[in-house]
Amino acid sequence: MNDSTATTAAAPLLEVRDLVKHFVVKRSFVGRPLTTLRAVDGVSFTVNRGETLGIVGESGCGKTTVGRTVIRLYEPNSGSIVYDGTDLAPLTFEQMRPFRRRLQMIFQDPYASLNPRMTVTDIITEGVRDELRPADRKDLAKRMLETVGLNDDHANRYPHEFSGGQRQRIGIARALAMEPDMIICDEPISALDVSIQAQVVNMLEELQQKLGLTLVFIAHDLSMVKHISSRIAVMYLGRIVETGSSYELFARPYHPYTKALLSAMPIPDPDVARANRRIILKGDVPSPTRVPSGCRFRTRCPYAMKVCSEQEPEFREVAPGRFSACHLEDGAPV
Amino acid sequence: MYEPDSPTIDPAAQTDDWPLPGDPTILFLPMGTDVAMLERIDRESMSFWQDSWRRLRKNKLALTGGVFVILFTLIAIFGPMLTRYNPNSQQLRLTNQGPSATHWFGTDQFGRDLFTRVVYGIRISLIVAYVSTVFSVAIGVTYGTVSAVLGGQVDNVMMRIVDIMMGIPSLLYLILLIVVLGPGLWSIIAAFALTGWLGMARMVRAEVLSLKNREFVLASRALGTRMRTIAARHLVPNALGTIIVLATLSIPGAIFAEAFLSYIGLGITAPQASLGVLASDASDTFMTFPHQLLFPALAISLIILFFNFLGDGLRDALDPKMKK
Repeated sequence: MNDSTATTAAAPLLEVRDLVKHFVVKRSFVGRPLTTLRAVDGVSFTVNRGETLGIVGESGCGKTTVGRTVIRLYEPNSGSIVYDGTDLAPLTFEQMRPFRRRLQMIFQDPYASLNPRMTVTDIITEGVRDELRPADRKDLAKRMLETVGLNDDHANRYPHEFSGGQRQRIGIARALAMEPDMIICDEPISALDVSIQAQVVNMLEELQQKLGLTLVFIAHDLSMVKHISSRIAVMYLGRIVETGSSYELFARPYHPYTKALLSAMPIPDPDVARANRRIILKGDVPSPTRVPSGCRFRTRCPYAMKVCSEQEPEFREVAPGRFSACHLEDGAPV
Repeated sequence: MYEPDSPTIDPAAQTDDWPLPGDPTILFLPMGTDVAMLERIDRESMSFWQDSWRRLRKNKLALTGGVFVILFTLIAIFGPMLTRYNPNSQQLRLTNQGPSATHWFGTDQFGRDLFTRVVYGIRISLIVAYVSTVFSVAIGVTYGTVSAVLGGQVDNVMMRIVDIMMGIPSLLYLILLIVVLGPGLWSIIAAFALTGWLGMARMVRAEVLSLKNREFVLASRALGTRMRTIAARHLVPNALGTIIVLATLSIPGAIFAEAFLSYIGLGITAPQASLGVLASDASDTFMTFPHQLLFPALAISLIILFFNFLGDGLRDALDPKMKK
C-alpha cells in the first residue's frame, strides 16, 4: 500500500501480474504431485477504472480460473493481483473480506449459482446479512430487484420458480447489493437463450454506466465480447496471447490464434461470409497437463517455425497499445 | 428501469379483431408489451418443503406409513392411559390366560396383562430407536460435514477411522459396548448411537462434497462468507433431505437390533420390557401359548413395516431423482 506507485488517477483499478494457478490432478501415494494441470500459467493484464475488459478463449483455456483466482476463490500459486494499490494474492480469507464488497462476481450457470433452499431476498442480501436488520434487508432486496428489472412480488420466491434470464438477474442483484467497484462476469450469458443474452448484456452495460462499474467480461462468444468490451484479451492454454482495444483487435489481429478465432466468427451477410477466408486449425487444444515446449500454440499454428518449439515468444508491445506473443512478427502483422 | 426489446402489437389491430378479456370462449389473449407483465409469475410460490409434502401426499403407501408411525408414537406416549393395569404387577392366579374382555391380549406366565406389557414395550422400543437415531444423526452429520468441508488429509484420516470402525461387525461392537456399559436402556441407546453414526457420516460427507463445489457455494464464498457459516447455511440444509430419509430408514434397523439384543439377553433388564424382551420371554412357551409371542412380534413387524413405507415415500418425495 505504501508503494511509490500508489493510487493515482491514471493507475489501473486492477493489475494482474504473472498470475499462476496450477491444479494437482494426480498425487503419488505419499502425496507428491504427479500430474499438474497448468490452468493459468503466467497471466498479466490490467483493467482501468470504468472500462470493460473482455477475456476470450476456447473452453478449457483458463478464462474461468483467471476470474476465480483474481477474486481469490482459488489460491494463486504465484503472481500478484494488485487491486486499487493492494496486492490481494497473499491475503488470508479474513484479510480478503473487506475487499469482497468492492470486487464481486457473476457466475456462469444461473441454475447452479443460487441456493435452491433460500428465498430471493435471502440470496440477494446474503453478503450484508450480519450488517443489516431484517427490515433493511427486505428493503435492499426490493431496491436491487427493481434495479435488475424484477419486482417485489419476486422477493419471497425460490430460485426454481424463475427462468434462466431472471435467475441470472438475481445473481447480478446479489453482486450489486455489495455495492462493488468491479464485477467479474464469468460467462454470464453462455447458459442463456440468445434472446435473453442480449437482454442481460444490455442490462450490464446500462448498469455499468449508471453505477460507474468496472467489468471483466469472460466469454467465448466473440460478437458479444466485441459488443460489450472496450479492450479484449485473448487466452490460449493458460496464457494471454494478445491484447488490444476491442476495435483494433478485431480490425487487425496480430497473433495467428486470434486470426483463426476471428475467422470462425459467423458473419450475418452471406456475401461477406463467402469472401471471408476461414482459417481452420489442425488438431485439438493440447492438454493443459502437457503443455508444449516453446510457444504453446505451435502445435496448431499454420505458421509454426523451428524457433517456436525452442523458445517461448515474449509478450510484448507490437504496436501502440497492442500486445502479442508470437515469434513471427517484430511488430509487423503477417 | 431496464426495458427489454419486444415486438410491438399494432393497437388498431387489437381493438376490432381481438375479443374482450373475460370472454369465456377465448383461451388465449396477446400479452402486450407491459414489462411488469412479462416478469410476472402466476404460479403460487412454493418452497422445497411444500413441494416435497405435495409429492408425499400423493403416495398412499407412504401416507399410510406416516399415519401409523404417528399412531404408534402416540401409543408410546399416551398408551398407559389406555389400560388400568400396571405392567409389572403380577396376578399369579391368572397366569397364561388367553385374550379376553378384561385382558385384551391375555396374560403372561406371571399373570401380567399382556396388552399393557406390549404398550410399554412399544414405548421402550421407540425410545431406544428415536433417541439413538437423534444422537447418531447429530454425530454423523457433524462428523461428515466437518470431514467434507476440511477435505484433504483431514478428510482422509477421518474417513479411514470410519472405515476401520465399519470393518468391525457392528454386532460384535454392540455386544462389547453393552458388556462394558452393563445392560439397560441407556447403554443400549449409547451403543446404538455410537455405531449408527458411521453410515450417516459417510452419506453426509458424500452429499456435502458434491454440494461444496456447486456454484452457489462459490458465490457465497465470494461474498465473504466463512466456511462454518456456509456449512450451516448452504451445505447442511441442502443435505437435509438425504439426512431425513436416512434417519427414517435407520429406525427400523434400531428397533430390530434392539429386539435381537433383548432376545439374546443383552437388552433391557427386567422388569422393564421392550418388544424384543416380550418376544423372547414368550418364545419358550409359544407352542402352548402362541398369543404371547404373536402380539409383541406383530407390533415389531408393523412398526418396522410402516417406518419402511414412510422412509421410502420420503425418499421419493425429498429426492425425486432417486425414485426407482
